[in-house]
This record gives sequence, C-alpha cells and structure tokens, in this order.
Amino acid sequence: MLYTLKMEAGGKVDKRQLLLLELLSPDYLMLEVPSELLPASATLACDDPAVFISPSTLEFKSPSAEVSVRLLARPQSSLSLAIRFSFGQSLLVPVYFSQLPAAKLYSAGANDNCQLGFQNTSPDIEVESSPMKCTSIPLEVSYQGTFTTLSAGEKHVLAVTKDGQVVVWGSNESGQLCIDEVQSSTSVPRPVAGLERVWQVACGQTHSVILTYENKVYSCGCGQKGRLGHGSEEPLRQPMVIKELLGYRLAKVAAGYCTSFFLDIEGKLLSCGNYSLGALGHSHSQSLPTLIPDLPPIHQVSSGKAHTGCVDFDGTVHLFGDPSDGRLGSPNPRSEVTAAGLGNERARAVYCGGAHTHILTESLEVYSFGCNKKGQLGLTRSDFQ
Amino acid sequence: MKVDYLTGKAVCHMSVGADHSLALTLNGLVYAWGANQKGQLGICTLGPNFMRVGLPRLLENLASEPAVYAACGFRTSYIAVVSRHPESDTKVFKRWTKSLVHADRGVQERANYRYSLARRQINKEKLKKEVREERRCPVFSARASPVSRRSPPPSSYYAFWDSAAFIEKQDPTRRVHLFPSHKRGHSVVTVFAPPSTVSEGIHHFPTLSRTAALRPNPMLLL
Repeated sequence: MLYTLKMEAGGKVDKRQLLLLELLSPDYLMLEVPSELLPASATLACDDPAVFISPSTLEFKSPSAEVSVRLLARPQSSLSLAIRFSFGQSLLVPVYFSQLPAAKLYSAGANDNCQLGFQNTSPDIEVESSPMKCTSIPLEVSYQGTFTTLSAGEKHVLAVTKDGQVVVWGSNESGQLCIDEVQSSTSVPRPVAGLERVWQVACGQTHSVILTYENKVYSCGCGQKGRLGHGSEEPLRQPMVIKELLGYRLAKVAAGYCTSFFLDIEGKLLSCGNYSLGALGHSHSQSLPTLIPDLPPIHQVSSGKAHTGCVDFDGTVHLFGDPSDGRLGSPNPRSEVTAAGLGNERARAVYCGGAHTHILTESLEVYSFGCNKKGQLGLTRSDFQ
Repeated sequence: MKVDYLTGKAVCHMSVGADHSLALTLNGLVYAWGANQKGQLGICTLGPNFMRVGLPRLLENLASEPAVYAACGFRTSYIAVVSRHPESDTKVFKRWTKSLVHADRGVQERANYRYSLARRQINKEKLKKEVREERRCPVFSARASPVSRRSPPPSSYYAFWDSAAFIEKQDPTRRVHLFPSHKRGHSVVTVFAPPSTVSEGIHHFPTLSRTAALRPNPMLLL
C-alpha cells in the first residue's frame, strides 16, 4: 500500500496523518517536502535493518516542489518502529509503522478439502437437511500462535505467524502445502519446518510462493506451464529457492490462478507461469521470472483468473489480460485507469478477482467494474439480476 | 463504477475471491458481498435469498472485535481479529478500539436517542388530542360547532305575552294557557310544539315563518 506523507511549511507533519499512517501500515511511503525546506542533499536512515530505503541518499540539483522517497518497511520483529528522515542537519520526522498481529482467525465458506482449518462442521440450519461441506458462520481456527498475514488458494491456505513461521492447512494434491508427509489434505494447521523468517506468502490455484526476509523466494506445488519459476514444469512437494531472483531485492510476491508475480523494490515487475489470455503480461508462457516490458515502476500488483492489475507510483492502474465482461474497464487487452476515471484521485491499490476488479483510491473509496452476475461489484441492488 | 455504499466507510484493505469480495475498514469492520453459495461471505445464512448478495453487508457477529486482516480464497473467507491480545495495552490498540470502533457504536446510540425523542413527541401529540376531546363536551366557543355535538332541541317552547297584546290565532301547533297574574289581570302563555327542521345556528319556527309568509308585504302595497 502506498502512502503520501505531506510536510507543512515549518517542517512539521500533521498528527492526523501520522495516525492514519499508523493504521494503514503502508509498504511504501512517499514524502512531500516543501521546496523551501529542501537542502542540497539529504540522508535517510532507519534504526531497524529490516527497513529498506531507496534511495538512501538524495541529491537535489534543481529545487522541486516535492520529493518522492520509496520506503519499504518490514515491521515484523517490533510492533512499531520509527524511521528518521534527516534533511541536512535539522529535520527529523519520526514515522511509525505498526502491524497488529491477529489474535484469532475466523474462516467461512467451502470446506470440501478442510481448507477452513477445521473438520467439517455444519452449524447451519439449512445445511442439516442436506449435508454440504461448508459453513456460513465464521468459526475460529484453533492454533497456538498469532497470525500476521495469510493467503489462500483454491483449496489450501498458507499463514505466517508472528515469529516468521509458515503454517499450512488444506489440500495437498499437488504438494502446495510444502509438506511432503501430508498426502491428501490436513485440517489441522501445521507449521512448515525449514522455512524461517518468512515475510510474505502468496497462493495460486495449486501452487504457493513464499518470500523471506533474506530476499529468497521459495515456491512449491503444481508446476504446469512453469508457474513455479524454476525453468521446468515438474511439480514440487518441497519448497525450493528460485535462483533467478537471487539478485533482486524483492518487495512483494503475488500469485494469480496459474501465474506468479514478483515485485522489486525499484518497481520492476517480473512474472512467470501460464499465458492465461494475457494475464501474464507476456505473449507466451514463461517458465522463468521475466521482466514485463513497457511498464512504469510498480508498487502494487494483484492477479485474478485471467487478468492482472498493477498500480504505479503515479497512482495509475495498469490492467492486462482477458477483456471480457469489462473486467479491464475497456475492451482492449491492455488498458489503463487514470485519475480522471477515479474522480481525480490517485489509485492506492487494485484487487483482481475471478471476473471483476476493485480499485481503492487515495481517499479510501472503492471503484469496481467487471462481471456483476453474482453481485460482485457491490453496487445497488437494482443493478444486478 | 463507484461503490457508493462504501463511501465514507474508510475502506483500507480489500480481498477478492473468485466471485466474492471482502472490504476491511479502518475501524475494524468487515463488509462482504458477492456470491454466497458456499457461505463464503460469512453472513451466517445459506438461504436461497442470500445466494448472491449485491450490496456490501456488514459481518455483524464479528463487529465486536476489530478485524485487522481479511483474506479470500476461491470460495472461502478468512478474517483475523484482535481481542484480549497480550499487547492490547499498546497505544495503537487503545486508540483503535476506543476511538474508532466506539465511534460507530456512538452513531447507533445517537440514532436510538433520536428515535426515542421522536417517539416521545408522538406520544405527546396523542395525549394533547385526548385532552382536547375531553374538554370539548361543553363548547363555548364563538365558532359554530357541528350540529351533532349540540344539545338536543327542547321538547316545547314557551312564549310569555301580556294579556293586552294577546292576539289569539287558530293554530293546531299551539296550546294557550291563561294564568292569573299577580301584577295584572292575567297573563297568556303560548306553548309551541318542537321545531320540525333544525338548521345551522337558528331554530326556525315553522308556524311563525308560515304566518309571516301569509302576511301581506307592506312594501308591495305601497
């Protein structure tokens, strides 16, 4: 998530902005500094080594109204941490990032492969007559520990605990749970041995991608069309490091149905996997992570069934893939949604589903387009049948 | 298209499944909409009317605890909440729970208070009306009251005459009694029958009006 912090003329920052920053816990921070405060050069530093700042040294040859600093915090060890911007000798701006670990996890929905984290229990009155493997009442997943982030695929779930371990449950047909012992599926959340200091997880349909603090990307599961990024199509039941990505400083990983996306802290977007009607960003399937051409620096990416959306640093949404049902916002296979289409606001994030797209703007409003057969767009009741 | 329902709700994170969506707001509430054939919205119903939910719907049974993370599988939803966490004494958590979650509760309380005020006003009007009805029975107002509310007409009318001015006329509706008077020789009392027609304001005595009509108009004679 992108956040722009505006500095006032006296070098102060509004407290409400800091509060919002605290609650949003963004991944990237943009700092807007008035031109009168701009020194010739500035140095940015943080006490925590888990915070990447790019670039760390700024040189201002011509005075401009605003300066953009991309900041990547990985606040996992501490609840909140301060980042100090020192401009010249005088200016200090503490910024607090916070990430609240969750105490309880509730899940609801289909449970045919125990992907909810418990055995099938059907407390629904409607279900008692004809037993379905699902629940509509959110039930608690029992696990000794707190989850910080979670990603779910079609039939499996990967969650990250506070101490950086991966906990998995659900189906293991293609080995997407990273545990070789489990044959079909598990309903009990199980920690994965051998993975430490995990930062992010992403689940595709039948594969999993894991990003650690040490900039290593692991992948396992079904490997059709090269979605694991190892250069082969063989399935993996144990997580393996993608060697192609060892030279990159990665900010984010994402997974579509049959695709994997890797985002650099400099905004380079790499992808591998199935072509899937253009959602990969390439004209052919790729078995190794390949840079997507013709894209400006990206800070957020989300991929759905057959389309992918990404937001660049100017707040423009780039969409590519299958244009049917209007899920790209235009009939072209590659389209852009600029601030003019979002009420003159910049986009903060884009979320792609099976056949619909949501865009979250800077003033926290939601725009949606695409298929509305099941009411996915959240518009008024009269708009869908 | 803009989702107007979520305007002003401060959505800070979203998650999208195959055909359903979750939105997480800054105050820790979760809204869900889209397909619900497997109960993936978590709205505690699988009824046929809720197979597809077109408007964002608040997950009410999770509203007591602030949610911090929401994720979607293809047909599943996962919502992480914080409550009674060991780190709950941190500044952020306190601010989160106190200012934001309770802000929404405050809105509800204000609505309840406004409703009670309206209810009280309605009761007040009702009471006022009842009192007015009660007080209406003897009406002494200048305005004309409805005919039905007037007291019934008397069964007979009396007219007192001086014996000197007495003109006897033959009329079947009158009965004439002669009483001895202590002042003069005797007085005449004429008893009229009750009036046959009653109109607004004035009682017309049919016999009198009939005699007036029979009497020749002096203006015509001139």
